[in-house]
Amino acid sequence: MRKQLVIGVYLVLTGGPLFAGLGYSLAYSLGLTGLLNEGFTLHHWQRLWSGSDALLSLGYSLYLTVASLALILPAAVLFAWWQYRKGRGGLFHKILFLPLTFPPLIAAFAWYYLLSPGGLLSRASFQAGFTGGIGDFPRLVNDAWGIGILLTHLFLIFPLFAILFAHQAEKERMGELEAISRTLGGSDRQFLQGVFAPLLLKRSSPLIVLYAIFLFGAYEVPLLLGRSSPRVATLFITEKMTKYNLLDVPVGHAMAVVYTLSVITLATLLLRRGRFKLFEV
Amino acid sequence: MKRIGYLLTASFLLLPLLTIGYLSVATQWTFPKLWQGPFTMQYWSGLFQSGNALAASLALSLGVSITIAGSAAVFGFVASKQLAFGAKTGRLLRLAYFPYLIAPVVFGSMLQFYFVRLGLTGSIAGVWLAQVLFVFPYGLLFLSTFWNDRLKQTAFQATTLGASSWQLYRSVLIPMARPWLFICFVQCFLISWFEYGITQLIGVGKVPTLTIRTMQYVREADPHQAALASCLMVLPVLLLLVVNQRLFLKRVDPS
Repeated sequence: MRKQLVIGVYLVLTGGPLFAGLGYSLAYSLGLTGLLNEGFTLHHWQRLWSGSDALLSLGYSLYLTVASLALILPAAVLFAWWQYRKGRGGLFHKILFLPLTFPPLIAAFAWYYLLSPGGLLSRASFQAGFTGGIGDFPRLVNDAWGIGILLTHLFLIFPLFAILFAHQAEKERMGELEAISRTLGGSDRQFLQGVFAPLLLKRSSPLIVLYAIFLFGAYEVPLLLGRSSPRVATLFITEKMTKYNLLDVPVGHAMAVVYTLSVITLATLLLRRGRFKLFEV
Repeated sequence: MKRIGYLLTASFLLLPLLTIGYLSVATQWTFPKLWQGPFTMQYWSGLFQSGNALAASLALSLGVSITIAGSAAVFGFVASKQLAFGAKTGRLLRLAYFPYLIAPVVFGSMLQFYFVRLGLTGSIAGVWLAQVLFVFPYGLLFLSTFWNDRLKQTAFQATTLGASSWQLYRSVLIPMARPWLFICFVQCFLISWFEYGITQLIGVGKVPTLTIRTMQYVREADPHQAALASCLMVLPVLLLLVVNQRLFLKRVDPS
């Protein structure tokens, strides 16, 4: 009896809000509920896809996700390689933990004051004679390519993967694999590219996918360091839902359905393949 | 060359902390000066004055995060045991991944209607409940890895020897799970402590946790107060890091 009660509470707390929220957003996007409810219609879904705004938003989120991982993963592999060669420990290893203490919002705030035209890098560049003033400094925040966002993501997530890869490298008996590689005539570079990096990336693939999902749903960092157009999917949704134009609310709900179903589909596929054991020990 | 790479990486990791620290004691910072005095502790000392908004936010954030983390650890422990010990209930565990993976701000946007209907928007209870929706699943997923065959056998033996359910928890399971519970508590605390999106959405700015207050100062173009709020967010976590790095390692590598 108590077991059923606990499981019931669990289902209400996990599945309940998910289906209630998704159901409400779906109903809203189909004109079945909401302030301007006009009965079943696909009009809002047509509006979502008729302009380039939604696609651009999804594309921008995808670009930031892929570009962030493209920066983070090679840097983390190189760090693990360096640690593997030198041995772990030291002050540098301790400093690596610092970004883990930063909430995304605070990291974005700090990086704004580092990268903005009036920020530290711009001042350093002026003092070194590389630029002649604020106007000469390239735009690194609120820019089209999301450079500030990418650097903040690198700051926040690189340490996680660097520490993880360094641990993995220890566990995988890299020494033995390297000895085999050397016996077969492989160079340092070939071992790094052919064995070390692929092995670490394959072993960590569930966590990489997990962080891809998190990055796709990033909110605070793009909010501070991004532009109003293009904007990430999460900002698209919240802006459409909370701004004063009531006609935009169903479009926001439609986008929320698209985003949520994408995450659920990806997670379900991974769980079904048994590759998504995030907390497996 | 290696030394330059080392220096650049160390700067990359250290500069944000130095920046918020610097801004919290600087009185002005005009371009193009890299470093500009005079420095002051007035923002910091203001924290100890009665009615200080940031001190109130710090207390509020601590209260919300500690109670959520404690509840998540307790709920996660009890629920994960029931799910782990059931023959067919293990599959239900997968359901917990979804609320945890969906961006909290989107999750909150979809649920805002219900919070409004229940009269929970703009209240601490609303923010608390909104955060629970994704912190509880995390706690449960984390603690589900605690249960293994050896533990199940130990629990079974204790029950066979006449231990009541309460005795089983008090004398067997909780002592064995203590380190896991502590790590789970810290992890859940951090998730709640770092949260901004859903807190803003459900709290509609009326529940001024530290993240909300920081954003408010950023929008008001008050970098010194924003930096002080940032320091207040980072320093307690930094203290945890100094006490025990493993708390953070668990977050990275559960093994």
